[in-house]
Amino acid sequence: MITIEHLSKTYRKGAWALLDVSLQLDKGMTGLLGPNGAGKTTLMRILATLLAPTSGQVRVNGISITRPEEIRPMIGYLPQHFHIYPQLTGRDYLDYAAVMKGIKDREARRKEVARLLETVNLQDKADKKVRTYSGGMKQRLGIAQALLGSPDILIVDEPTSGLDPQERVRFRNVLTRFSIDRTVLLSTHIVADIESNCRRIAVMNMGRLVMSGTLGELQACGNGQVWEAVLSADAFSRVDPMQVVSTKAVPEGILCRFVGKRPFADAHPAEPSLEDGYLALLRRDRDV
Amino acid sequence: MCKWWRHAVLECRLLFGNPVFASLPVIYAILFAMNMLNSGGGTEQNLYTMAYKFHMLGHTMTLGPAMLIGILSMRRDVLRRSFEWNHSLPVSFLTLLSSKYAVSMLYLSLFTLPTAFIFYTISISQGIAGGIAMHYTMQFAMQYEISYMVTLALAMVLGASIPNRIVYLIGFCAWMFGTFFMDIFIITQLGWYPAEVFHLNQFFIQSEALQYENWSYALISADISRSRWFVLAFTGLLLAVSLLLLNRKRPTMHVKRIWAAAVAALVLAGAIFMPYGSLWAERYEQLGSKLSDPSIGLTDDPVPATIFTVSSYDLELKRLPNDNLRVTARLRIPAGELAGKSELPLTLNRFFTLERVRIQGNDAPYRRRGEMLTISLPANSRQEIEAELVYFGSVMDYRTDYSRNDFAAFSLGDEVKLEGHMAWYPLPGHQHVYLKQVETSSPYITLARRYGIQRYSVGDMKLKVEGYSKPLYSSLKEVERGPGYQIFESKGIGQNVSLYGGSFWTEVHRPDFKVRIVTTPYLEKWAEGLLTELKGKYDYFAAWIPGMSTDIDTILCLGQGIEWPHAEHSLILSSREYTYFSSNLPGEWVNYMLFGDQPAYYGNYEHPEQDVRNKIGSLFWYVYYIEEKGLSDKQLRSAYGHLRSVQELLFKNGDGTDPQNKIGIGMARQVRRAMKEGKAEQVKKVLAHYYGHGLQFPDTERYPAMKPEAPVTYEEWVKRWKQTVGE
Repeated sequence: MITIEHLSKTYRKGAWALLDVSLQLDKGMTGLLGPNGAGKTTLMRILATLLAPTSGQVRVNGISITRPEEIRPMIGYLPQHFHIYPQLTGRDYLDYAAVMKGIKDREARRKEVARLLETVNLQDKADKKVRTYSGGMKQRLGIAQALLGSPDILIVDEPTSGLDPQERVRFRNVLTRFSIDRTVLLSTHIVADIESNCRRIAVMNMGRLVMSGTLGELQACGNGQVWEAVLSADAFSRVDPMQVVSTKAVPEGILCRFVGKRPFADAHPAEPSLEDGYLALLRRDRDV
Repeated sequence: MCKWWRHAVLECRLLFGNPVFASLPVIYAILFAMNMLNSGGGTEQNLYTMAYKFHMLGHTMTLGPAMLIGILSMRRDVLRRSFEWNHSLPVSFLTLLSSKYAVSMLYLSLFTLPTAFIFYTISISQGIAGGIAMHYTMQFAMQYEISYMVTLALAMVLGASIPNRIVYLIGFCAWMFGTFFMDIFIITQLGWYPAEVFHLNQFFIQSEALQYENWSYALISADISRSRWFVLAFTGLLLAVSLLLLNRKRPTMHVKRIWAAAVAALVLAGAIFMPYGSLWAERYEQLGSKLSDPSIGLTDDPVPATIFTVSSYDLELKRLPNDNLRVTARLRIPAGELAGKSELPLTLNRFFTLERVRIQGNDAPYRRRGEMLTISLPANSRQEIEAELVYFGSVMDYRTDYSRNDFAAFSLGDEVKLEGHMAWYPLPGHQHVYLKQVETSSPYITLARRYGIQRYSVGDMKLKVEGYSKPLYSSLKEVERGPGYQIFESKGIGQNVSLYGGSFWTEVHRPDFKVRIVTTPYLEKWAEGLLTELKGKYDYFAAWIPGMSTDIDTILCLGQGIEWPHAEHSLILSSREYTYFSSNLPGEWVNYMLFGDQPAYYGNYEHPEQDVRNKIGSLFWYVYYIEEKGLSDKQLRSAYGHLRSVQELLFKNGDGTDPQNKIGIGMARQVRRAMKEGKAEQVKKVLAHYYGHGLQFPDTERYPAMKPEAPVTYEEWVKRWKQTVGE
């Protein structure tokens, strides 16, 4: 469990990357949503003990973040940008990471590495040099690295970027299985990743936590804010593109979906999706 | 430890898996081996000097990879954001840093080990004693390793502190600054010699202190060991700073400990710098006290001293275990030399403290001012004066004049250089040992010897030395050598006497020749060849010069350390500096044996007809080269420098019509024609006559008691020639 209280972080230039964030992450998977620059990565780096907060308190399984050496053995972390030594094979790399995570027994390490290679579907490429891997394969190796040693806390920053749809599904399932009895924090801007995995959700915007709750609560943020209208091609070309969240070709013209105030008198209200709720929340926050 | 080891294995793989890095030590070893296999004899081509000179440039070049590896090891992972995953691992930066450092050192040792092995193996194959070869091998290897250690640590600090790629350029500048720039500009040109400790590899290209075996490591062992300890401590400081910088990259609960370690490393480095700094403080204090001493004269107008005769010296020099010297000097001054004087003026170097002064067996009051010692004499003393002085002190006389950075006199262990002009025994009169130049931006102290103002009496000298484990060599004749002592004695000589010694010196003998060459181990084989050649030349002249005799029985052929080559009584001091090509050293030595040092030798180019002794001296060699080598004048001219010079005869100034040329060339033609006509015996008879007359050019200025030789005019020469050889 991770408890965050009044957490703030400012960099040298003075802008607040995080401002008074308080949040509790229980067992299970929590999705962290937010636009670029919202402070997601800063928060995750603080939780991964890579960055010291400017103020506030964080406790990981009851241990204060001011004692990072005691927290690191409990954590698996996959950063947003992940590179590894190209000269190594996937297996060598995971063996190295396993030793660094304290798995001393050679046989136990071999088994764990083999299991994780299979989990991320890299068993066939395990003995190839990393330099021959595609971006997605490297990302999968990074995921395997984060899962090594079955850490109590898993922090993954944009893990599905670069994965093809099939691998993304596979990865979601891995995370879902892994999150049983563990705390997993998944940062992403792909709402579908969260929709299919997370029990809870936290939304950040401009360094602040703007919402924390269940998927349903986020979805409910879109109530009364989502509209649909069928427009002719000519009318569609005159619409502010920022207002439109999705379009669909229908026999009568183009079915457009809007989030925010009613765009036209003949637009009719629609049932919000999770993404609509998220967008409505961000717009409301921006307007405030 | 498991994590440390696993990371070290990874580092090894990254470093040794790089084909460029992997091939560099191999290429370096091949280059070194080729260079060493080309070594020969001579002061410049012997294995030791060749190896040192290779290291001067070669090792400096290898510091480039050291710098690059240090920076790369930081930038490769710990500083890269995309490798942030390893910061989240439960591994301390101490583990990462130390394993990176150890593996990089392991790699850099691949430059050290083959060079050490090759140097040692070739040394042994050349007949160098194992202990001596190992001594130098270890000195080189240690210097390599320590230089790599500090360079690597410096590179790691740079890598940890500068995230931008400009760090590579800064690393390159640090490499160049820490080696060539520091050597050439900071140390040599600015004369900031204590900064040597910050030179990255200490194989100085501008200093000759260690380029030659003689008086090298043993003499500056304190400098070397203190400097190395400091460099090690400084390396520790750099690593502590690196650790500190790395730990600023992610939170740690050990901040206080890491700061404490850095501060401790700083304090330790500072504390270890003290002994090294104190060495230099002492040296600069020596220089400063001399510069401010009004008793030391100025170089602008040095005045020669007035001296008196000392009929005999009886010196006993004892080296005490702490390298202090205790000297008892007994002087006899003939009655009448100081008639009417109430004081006895002597010169004794300030590095000695007087313990007792006695005149005629009674304690006598005295006063000292710098080197000048004045002893009160009993009133109305008309008899021979017997003075006894007992004094002690350690001798390490540092000097920095004329871009020098060495010791004018020393006695440290078996390394000894005590020359007469340094007044290590009481010289007659008040003489300057040092002179100073103060009207310059960098005031300096120099030796009065350079200005030729010192004067010596002529008489007997006896010297007993004790306490040295290796033999010493003096310009006095060695009359007895026993365990731990030596006795030297000469009669009726100029009382300018020197004493030399070196811990690795070795004697080269021939059973059929009285002269020995004292040299260093790596010059020994070469010296054996020189001794054979020397004997050949000596025998040639001895066969036809009836009165040929020489006191010289020892040649110190050391490669360096003697300011200029000269003969001193029974000793020839040969040197690389100011000398001819080493191929002609035996010729130079035989010339000393024939004519001595010829200190007052002069060209007399304006009126050569007034004295042709210098040309007659050259004729001995001219005859030798015609008779023994069959050389023509053209060959003799073109071989200038490789032969004992006959340029007094053959040198042409312009078209060769001035009197100097006319006389020289004329005498040479005379001799060649006569030799061609089969009159070699008559020619030799003429030369032998003049040999008996005297061609020594004694220095009657420095030794006022010596009798000058009469000049030989050209007219006399022509007359003698006609009498003996004919028209």
